[in-house]
Amino acid sequence: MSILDLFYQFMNDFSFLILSAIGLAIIFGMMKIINLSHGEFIMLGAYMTTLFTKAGMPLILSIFISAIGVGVFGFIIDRLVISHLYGRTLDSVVVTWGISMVLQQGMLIIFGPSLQGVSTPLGSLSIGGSAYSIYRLLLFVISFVVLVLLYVIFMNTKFGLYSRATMQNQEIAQSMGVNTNRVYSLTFSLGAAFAGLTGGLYAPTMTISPSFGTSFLMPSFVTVIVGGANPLIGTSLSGGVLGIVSSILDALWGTFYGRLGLLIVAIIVIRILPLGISGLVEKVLVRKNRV
Amino acid sequence: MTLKTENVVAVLLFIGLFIYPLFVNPYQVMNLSYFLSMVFLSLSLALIWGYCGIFSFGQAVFFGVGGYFYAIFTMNSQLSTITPIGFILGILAGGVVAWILGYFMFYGGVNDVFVGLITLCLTLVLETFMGQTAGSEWKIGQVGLGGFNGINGIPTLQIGSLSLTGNNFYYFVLMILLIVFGLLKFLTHSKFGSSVIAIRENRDRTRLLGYNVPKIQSFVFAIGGALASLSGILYASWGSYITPSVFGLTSATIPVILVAAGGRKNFTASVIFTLLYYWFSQALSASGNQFALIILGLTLILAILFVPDGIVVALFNWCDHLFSRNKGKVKLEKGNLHEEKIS
Amino acid sequence: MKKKLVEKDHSSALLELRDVGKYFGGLKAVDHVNISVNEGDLHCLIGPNGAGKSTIFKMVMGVYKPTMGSIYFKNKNITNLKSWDRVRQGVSIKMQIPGVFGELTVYENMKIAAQRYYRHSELKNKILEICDLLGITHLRDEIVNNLSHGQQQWLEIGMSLASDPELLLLDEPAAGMGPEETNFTAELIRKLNQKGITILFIDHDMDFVKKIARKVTVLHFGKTFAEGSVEEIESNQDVVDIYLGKS
Repeated sequence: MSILDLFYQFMNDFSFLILSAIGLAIIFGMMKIINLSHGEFIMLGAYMTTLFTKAGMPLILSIFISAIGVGVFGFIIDRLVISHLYGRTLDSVVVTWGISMVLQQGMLIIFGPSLQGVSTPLGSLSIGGSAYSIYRLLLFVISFVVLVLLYVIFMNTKFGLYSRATMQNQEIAQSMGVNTNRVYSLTFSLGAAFAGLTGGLYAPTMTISPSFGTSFLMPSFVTVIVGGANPLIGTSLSGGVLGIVSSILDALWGTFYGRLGLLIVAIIVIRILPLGISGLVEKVLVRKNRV
Repeated sequence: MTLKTENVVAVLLFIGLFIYPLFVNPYQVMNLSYFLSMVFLSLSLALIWGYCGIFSFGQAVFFGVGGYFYAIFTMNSQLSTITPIGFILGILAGGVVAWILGYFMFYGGVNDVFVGLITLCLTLVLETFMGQTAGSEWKIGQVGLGGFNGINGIPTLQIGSLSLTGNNFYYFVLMILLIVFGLLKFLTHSKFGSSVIAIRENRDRTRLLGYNVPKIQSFVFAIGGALASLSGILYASWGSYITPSVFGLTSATIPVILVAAGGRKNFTASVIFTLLYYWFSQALSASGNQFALIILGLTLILAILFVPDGIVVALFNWCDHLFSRNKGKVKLEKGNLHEEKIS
Repeated sequence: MKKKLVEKDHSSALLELRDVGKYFGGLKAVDHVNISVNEGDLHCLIGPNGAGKSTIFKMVMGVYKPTMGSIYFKNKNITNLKSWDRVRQGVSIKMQIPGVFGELTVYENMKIAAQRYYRHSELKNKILEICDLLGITHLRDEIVNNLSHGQQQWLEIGMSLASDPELLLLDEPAAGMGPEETNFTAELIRKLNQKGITILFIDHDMDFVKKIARKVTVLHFGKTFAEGSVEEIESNQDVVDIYLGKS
């Protein structure tokens, strides 16, 4: 295995971790809701993208529309169900598990056990005897674009300001006139939209079935756990660290050990840093500012 | 015991379970033995989550540890008379593993949702790990772990020359359930029970009243582990097989769902809801109804939204209310919607 | 019933903070503080908000670990003991925000607090005795969340008494109480002190402090600013400037 192969593997793992975690991280970090139906949101995105593309829409456009579609779906779910559970982390686990059951089984009933997928576009690039998928390289770039997008949303918009204020202290934000319920609602929709985007992006690379989201769930949870509450700092750093761990283990011993490594890192991190990497970063920053 | 709906229902339930085999065919008895075996898993979570406030996905871990331990232990010895020893050691193994994990977490200050996350990761670690043990190098003694296919041909429990199958197994499980249920009831009404509830309500304050909170938490967690392990052993003995899917996300989540929807602060409610769930899901899947999972999912959502204390508990309270209205001694338990906090 | 006191070699103080400090990052919440509380004393900590009073209590109870210095109770270094061990040694606290179990009844609350220290046969009598002292006997089967703020404060004092402490820490025992309730609380604290319990308390209300305290320590920006009897503190111009003058 060449260094290039290893780097390709890292790019793959990194983008997969970042993209699968981002929607979950926004919802968990900002709202303290653990969304177990996150995988099903991703699955919805994949279905929509596949169906739109097969109906003749260009892939890029259908991915974009799927992201928006899942965002709208998330908004509806929030209004109907999640809005009654703000602040009840453990109840949210049970409810979102229920939602995931309904979505998965519903998809099975409507579309059957699997859907004819769209083939991976863009072909591959051959360097030194190894072939690298251009689409997957593009996903690596997109994962960075998504992080930048998130930065812009949270640092440069009014919504971002309100949502950061709400995350810091809900009561104070409320007393300053921020409609925290609306902030939560939009945050949930935003998280869902990112999940839909991820589903759309990975739709051309995997088999489309109702259990499409399941393979995203574990890596996304691990990334969020290791990253901690801050979706931006946390997810990007933990995606980096975990990407390195898993690509090395993948290369050395195979995917099983890659997965195992991720989980073990997560367990150790919760024990040592319950607030994740972003908790550590914030602590260090606070200390610096005070001294 | 006071005359409350819950206690009346519990007594009636056990009487019903004792006479049930008289009225149905062996196949149905066999099914119910399986449902009863799974009840211990729910009870273990009701104990640690409902009474002690420890939210865990890890009951699947101890369930699997029990099942695999029993399989490996009994299949290595090849003596059917050794199964009761495997049974007892398996329960202890689950308890010990849980205690070690609890020690690692509670003495390290890990609490609330983070316990849930650690245990979720751990169960997925085990699923992943056991899934790749298909090769012949993965053997403990003479027993291959078998990867995704798991272990088959696990011996049934045997006491002396009495092999526990059919009605024998059913009554064996039922007796154990009765004992465990009684012990749990006794435990939670003892002094120890009050301290466990105190920890659930306010950990910090309980510490400042002189309680060694991590020690109590680890101990309760160990009892929960032993119960889950018991469930796994009964399951392995009942079906003669065990696979890594017992560690899977679904297996880890189902006890949480059952206990939450039934009523986590109430053992009777957990028992009833678990039996109903398994009966319902089997009846629906046997009839090939593809809407089974949808109905279950919707039930969960509606239960948490409208009766956060649990469906069965809500019914109990409603009945208590109904019967005690004339006596003017109504004291409905207040729902505590916002007790869980993060961080 | 009372625990036997340990021989005292070099100090008659029941509780002694020696050069104790607590830093949160760069914030010096408590800085090089020395306080000693004598046996049988009724000692008050006062100081503006953020002076470090509650932080000191939390360090005495083992909720926070001091950044420096050590804490002695009955001439024994307790700096590294866990909270529950300190309670078992004979220190007890009523916190600022009532730490009562809101979903349970008054009796159940008292039972949780007392059951460690009494046998089953004595438990009920002891609980009723404390409830009598606090004047909440008639509320024993009430769910605590239904109690008034003052009643909850008293219940919590009762819970901290259940372990038969030698030293009782009270963090704002009369906060949020009306004049009548405040009087009752003052009377209660004096009564407990007469029973032989050493009391260290925090309060903002100078009238309340004057009513009961025998010794006052003033804290300012995490440091000991002045110490003495109520009269001495009141006549200290510096103290008046930083603290008393404002209220």
